[in-house]
Amino acid sequence: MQYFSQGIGLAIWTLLLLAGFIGTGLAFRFSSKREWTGQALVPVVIMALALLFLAVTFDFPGEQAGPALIPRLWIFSIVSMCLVVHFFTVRGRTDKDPKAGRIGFVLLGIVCMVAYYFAIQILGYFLSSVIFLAIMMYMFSCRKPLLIVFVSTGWVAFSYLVFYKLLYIQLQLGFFENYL
Amino acid sequence: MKRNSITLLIAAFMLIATFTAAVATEFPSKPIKLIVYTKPGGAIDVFARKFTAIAARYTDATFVVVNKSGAGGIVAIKYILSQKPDGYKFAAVTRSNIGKIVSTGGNIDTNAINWMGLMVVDPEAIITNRNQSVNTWEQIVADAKAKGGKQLWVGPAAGGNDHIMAMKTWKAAGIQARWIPYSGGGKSMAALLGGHGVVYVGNPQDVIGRPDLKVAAIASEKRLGGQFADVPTFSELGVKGLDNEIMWRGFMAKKGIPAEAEAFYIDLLKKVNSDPDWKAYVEKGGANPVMKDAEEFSAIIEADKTEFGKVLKELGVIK
Amino acid sequence: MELFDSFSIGLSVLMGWKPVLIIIVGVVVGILAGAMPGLSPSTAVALPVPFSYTMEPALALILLTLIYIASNYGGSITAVLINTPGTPSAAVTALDGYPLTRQGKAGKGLGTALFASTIGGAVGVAILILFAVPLARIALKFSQADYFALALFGLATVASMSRENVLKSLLAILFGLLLTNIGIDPISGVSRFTFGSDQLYDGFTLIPALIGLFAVSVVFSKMESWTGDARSMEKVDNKLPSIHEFMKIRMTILRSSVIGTVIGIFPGAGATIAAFISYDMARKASKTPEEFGKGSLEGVAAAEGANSSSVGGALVPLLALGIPGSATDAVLLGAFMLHDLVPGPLLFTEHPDIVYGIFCALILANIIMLTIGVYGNKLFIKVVSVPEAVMYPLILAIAVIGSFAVSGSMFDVAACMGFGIIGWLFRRYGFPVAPIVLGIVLGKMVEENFRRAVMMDGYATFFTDKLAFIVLLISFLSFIWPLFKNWKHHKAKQLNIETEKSK
Repeated sequence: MQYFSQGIGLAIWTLLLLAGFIGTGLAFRFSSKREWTGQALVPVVIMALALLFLAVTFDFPGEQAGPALIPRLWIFSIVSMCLVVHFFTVRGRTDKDPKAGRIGFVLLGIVCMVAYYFAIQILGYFLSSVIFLAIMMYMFSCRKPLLIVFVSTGWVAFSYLVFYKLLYIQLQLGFFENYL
Repeated sequence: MKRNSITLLIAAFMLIATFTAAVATEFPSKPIKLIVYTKPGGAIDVFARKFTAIAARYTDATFVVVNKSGAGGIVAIKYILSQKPDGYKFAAVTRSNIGKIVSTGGNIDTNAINWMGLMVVDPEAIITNRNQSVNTWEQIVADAKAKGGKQLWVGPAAGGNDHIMAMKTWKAAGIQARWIPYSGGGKSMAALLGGHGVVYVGNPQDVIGRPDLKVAAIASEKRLGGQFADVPTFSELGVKGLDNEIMWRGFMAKKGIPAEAEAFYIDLLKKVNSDPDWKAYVEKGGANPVMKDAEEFSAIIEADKTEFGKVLKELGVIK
Repeated sequence: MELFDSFSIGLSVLMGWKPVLIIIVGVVVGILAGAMPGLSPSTAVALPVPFSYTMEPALALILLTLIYIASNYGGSITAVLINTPGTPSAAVTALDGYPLTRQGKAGKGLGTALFASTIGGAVGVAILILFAVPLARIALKFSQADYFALALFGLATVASMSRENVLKSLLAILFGLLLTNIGIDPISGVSRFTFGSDQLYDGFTLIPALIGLFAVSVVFSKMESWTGDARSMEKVDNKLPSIHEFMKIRMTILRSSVIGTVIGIFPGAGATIAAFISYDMARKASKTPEEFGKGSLEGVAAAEGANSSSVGGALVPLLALGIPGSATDAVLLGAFMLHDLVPGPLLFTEHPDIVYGIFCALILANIIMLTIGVYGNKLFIKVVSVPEAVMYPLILAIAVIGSFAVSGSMFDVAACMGFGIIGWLFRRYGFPVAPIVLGIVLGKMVEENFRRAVMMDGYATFFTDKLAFIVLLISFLSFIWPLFKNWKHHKAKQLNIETEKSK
């Protein structure tokens, strides 16, 4: 069992779990139960994570009430709970997936957040926050330039005064750090 | 015209650059960051702030204490190592950081660190609850033998300073007991106060202000002063090999800081070390003020690494 | 008489314009910091510690303690108004407070939170002053098995948290529990599930996860249903709860204040667990349990009464024994040490001015909090009328800086975003997110105490330790009972459908 706890073994196990996840997704997508795909996949993801962790626990030192005990208890409960939820889903006894809304807009929002995360480390917190807030407000169909400028710079001024100056939180300065 | 202004700009920049370079020979020319590996209010944070308060008597430099908490000090040490060694950042460290460096796989190169000075030594202490029937060293030994390995010792996580001290004590005294780890000293002391364990392993400092607790033995060569004057050392109790079990506190920087910065720190550490108020502060906390330079400090680090490595391997924490 | 003398010493500390100013500043800063997601009580108290070093010891400690108590109330403001719990324990407040705002009754939500907080705070402080020493002694006597039982009792509240999706709630809580196993095991020192990343050595921090699950995920959900017209969120009514409404919840407030104080006394339990348990109790005792989760004033009162009173409880072990009972206590302990003071029994005799100064200030603080709150609410409530197009980007920006502020780490920011996506998916498919928070809060307490109990006395201890056994039995029953009622209800409904069909 310890073979799957690390290195290549763990990689193989991860790929197997990934395949199981994709397999379940496809199986639901192309069957009469396609309206339950999302319902089925949420527990499957959690179960896959639990099983991934299970493999790792075999690497822990074995002792009475050791480090593997409680994680395995949760993993066992998760797997059994997922199977029960899955059973209900297959029988169509849970709610159907909600109608897809503007998924594209959400994805765009997530992309913006990720870009903001990296921008903070490159451009520094202050500059990237102005840009992020302005773009997000524009995306939420705010078309008042004055309001956009006011809110984004206002927020940055607030965070500078309160967080940086008053509370000594070392907000990232990005590449400006060398010049300040 | 445009080209002219650019040339002017470059010239201006160069002027500023030479100017700052000229000023830079005088260290320090800007505020110095003292990195602390806990959040404000942690024990080492208090230590660092005391240090800066007393250091202010000997230098005009401004110190800013910066808290970089996480992973028992790994985050703070990695931060120091990731920065330019310009001398404007140094960090407060304790022995438990070495344990973390070893237990997390040793991807921190201790040779890349300038172990500038070790300033405080806290002897390890065997602490008991005054209100329990077992509270002196002799009683502990007798109780342990009577319980046959079922005596409970409480303290922080397995594989740390205090656990290692406990294991050494058991070996030296020829007794057996069980280590019950808690997340942190506070909770372990609560367990001792509640009578859930017989012994807590910590430092004399832990007893101050808690009249129910008492130090049954200390692992130092000589007795401490003040309120600890009547606490016996291990050798007085006839236990051999536990004369110098310590938890140290000191300061580090990245290797390669400018020579004038290094000289500045060494000078400052020495001055603070001989300050009467600093001595009083350290001794009041049941510790000893010392001054070990980079060479001695590095040797201590190597010895600690070997010890932690050996114990953590035995416990199965590292491979 | 002795108490009277001590209090006159305490009051003498508070004479003059400076102490009064410090008290007002402490309360205001506490409320604002608490309202700011990311500045949880422990961070809110930690950040001014360096600044307080330069002050007189008594005033410095009064300032920090007041920030502690006021921040527990402040957390409810953002929880009620924008579903972003400013403090972890306000996550429970949000369960009913935000629905109230959606119904245009933000004023009632805020008002209930304020009244419950001040009464809870006062009850907690009163118990602290009168019984600190004996209570602290009793709390220490509880065994590891008892603590484990208490944690499990907290976990059992999940069953009644969302009746419709018990299975999904269970899955969510288990997910939270499993996440707490990531990081260095506090017992064996082994690093678990870190996959070699030292960012994960401390595991996921609660605050970023909380902000992600509650605040960021809601913004994503709003984006999915975005229709494109930027208007302000909802109609706002800043009417406070009426006397009649207040009288209806007075017992809930009192009950939750006592629960909160008692749970706060246990080292390691804390405000969030207190709020969850008190919420569950209030629901079981309520005449209208079906309103819980849909904007029940009782729900808001139960959560806020408990989390504010837990502060008084948490100060019990700190002041009486010098043992920090919560993360914030640990910071306060450091602040005491910075001034060369050690909290504990000696402090009462050696520095009565500090102990009783803190006590008097705490009493005053609740009165000031009520006054500031009543006027402040009128101001805070304006937040709701901010246009959505401004509100949602700002919530994301607050989430980022709030996660960063916890320990100055970009990893926490990434974790917050990750939890935002998880929360959005959970909401989308009808999985509740509050149980994840409950799991994260209780995971360590369950695991550590269980393992220590076994290490000390073996597995049999859960049957031989009478108190632990009884509490475990109660938690089991309180977990099973809602499930059983749910099943019976379901069965009856099915039977109805079948009989209707056969007709």
